[in-house]
Amino acid sequence: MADVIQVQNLYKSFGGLKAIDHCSFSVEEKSITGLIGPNGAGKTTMFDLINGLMLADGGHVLIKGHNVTRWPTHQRARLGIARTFQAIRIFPQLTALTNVMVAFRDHPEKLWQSFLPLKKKRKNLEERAMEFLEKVGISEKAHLPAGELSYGQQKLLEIARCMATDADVFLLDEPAAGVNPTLLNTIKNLILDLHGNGKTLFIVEHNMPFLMSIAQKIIVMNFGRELAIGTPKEIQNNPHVLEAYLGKAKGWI
Amino acid sequence: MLDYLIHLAAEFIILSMLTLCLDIIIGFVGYLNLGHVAFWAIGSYTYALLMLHGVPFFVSMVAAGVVAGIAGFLIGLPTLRLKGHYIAIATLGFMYITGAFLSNLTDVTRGPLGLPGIPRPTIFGFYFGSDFLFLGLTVAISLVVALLIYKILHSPFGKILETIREDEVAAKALGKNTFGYKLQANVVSAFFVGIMSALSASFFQYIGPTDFEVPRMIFFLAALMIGGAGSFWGGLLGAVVILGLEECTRFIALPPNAIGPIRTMIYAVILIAVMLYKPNGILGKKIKAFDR
Repeated sequence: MADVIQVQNLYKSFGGLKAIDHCSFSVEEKSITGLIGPNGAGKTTMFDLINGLMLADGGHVLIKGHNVTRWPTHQRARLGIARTFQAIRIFPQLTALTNVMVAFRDHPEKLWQSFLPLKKKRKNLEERAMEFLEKVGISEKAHLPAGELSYGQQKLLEIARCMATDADVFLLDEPAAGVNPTLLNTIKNLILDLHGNGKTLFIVEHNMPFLMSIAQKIIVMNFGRELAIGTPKEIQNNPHVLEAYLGKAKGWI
Repeated sequence: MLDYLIHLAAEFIILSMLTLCLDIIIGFVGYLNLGHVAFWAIGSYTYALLMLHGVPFFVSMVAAGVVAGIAGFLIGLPTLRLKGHYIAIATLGFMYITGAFLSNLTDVTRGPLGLPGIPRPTIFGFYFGSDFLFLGLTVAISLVVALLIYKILHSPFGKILETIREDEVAAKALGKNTFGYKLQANVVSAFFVGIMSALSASFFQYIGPTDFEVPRMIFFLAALMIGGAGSFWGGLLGAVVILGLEECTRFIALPPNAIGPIRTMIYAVILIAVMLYKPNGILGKKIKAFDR
């Protein structure tokens, strides 16, 4: 299968700190791939480099075969790559419905389009946005400002907004963090649903049972580079991974 | 008394409209633009110089809009890449630079003397010389401009501007070229400021460099904070509230030398009250740049 994301020898430093230290891996099309690692391993930085919020100091990022290393974020997004954030980023004073509507590719947002009669178009957008809210189960909150939704509902809204961009690659930064078991199940089903529809999911997550139960491949990062790549089973038994998480065993006591 | 009211109405409308133009950038894009009065200065001088050279009214007005719009484009290129309070400092610098040019390009602007005798417009042979007729013209043009701004702010384009105010990073991640939208918004705002400066220059019939300095900028910021940034009606309301209260002081018997300080105190008291009890203004939204 083709690789939708290829990271080649990527390098990024903040002053003296090597946040990403010559890291390479790839994410296969239509897969669920996990990215794990201890805190500070560079996972979120990696996401920022992939979607362009940060620019790499060296190496390459390829999305669907395009070398996007120097591209700005919005151009990468238009290749069909959507992202959620570790700390939720919604538009709090806009309604949930508007949050989704602005994400559509055919949102008539050009300046000159301000002067067109768009009633029909707007209605069509609203209906489609509503469908996405229904899909994630928060349609009854559609007309509330997004900031008034609960934390879990905001997470779902963020996913709905990603879906509305018509992306086929989803970067999810800790989708399971801070959510209750019921919601976790909803999110898991959404992810499996997206996967079933042929989307690629690349997920940063600390909740191992959750990630291990859905991912086909896991990439482990430590100190800014890939430490191990393999199936969940291989990763669970990899001594280097255990060491990174739990510390080095100092012999038998 | 009627003359006074007519004069007042025109002043209220012009300053409200100029505040509304600022609302596009501060209230909708969420960027603290302190160079607003510089666009006003550029528009006003363009218009005044053309009118004084006998150029027809509509040509002068549109030229003022276009020149101010170009200034908005050029100053937007570097400043709109900045974040947070840095943009405030950079645009403040733009205001000072513009002021320095106005004061020192004496061959063109007559420097600190300013430009007196800016004529009232003549349209198709009809002279809008009296305050009353000029008020009519002001209302007509302001209605058109307000309607256009209303359309823009309530369009999908306006919604994208709001996403930038709410979370620019998220807007970028959704594929929005936020810099492009910010630049367009800046040009639109500056263009309409330029159009309105035609009315203000012909109304006051005199402009000088001191008309476009920090106190004026503070007036617009105060008006926007009180009316409420991020709202069309809020943008229009604030200037009316401040000017209204200011005019009220005329009817209180005060020694002439106390009027100035008392007006300043009124500003201060309203601003503090608004910040404490109604931080989003009367009708506005939460703007990070105004956050406590």
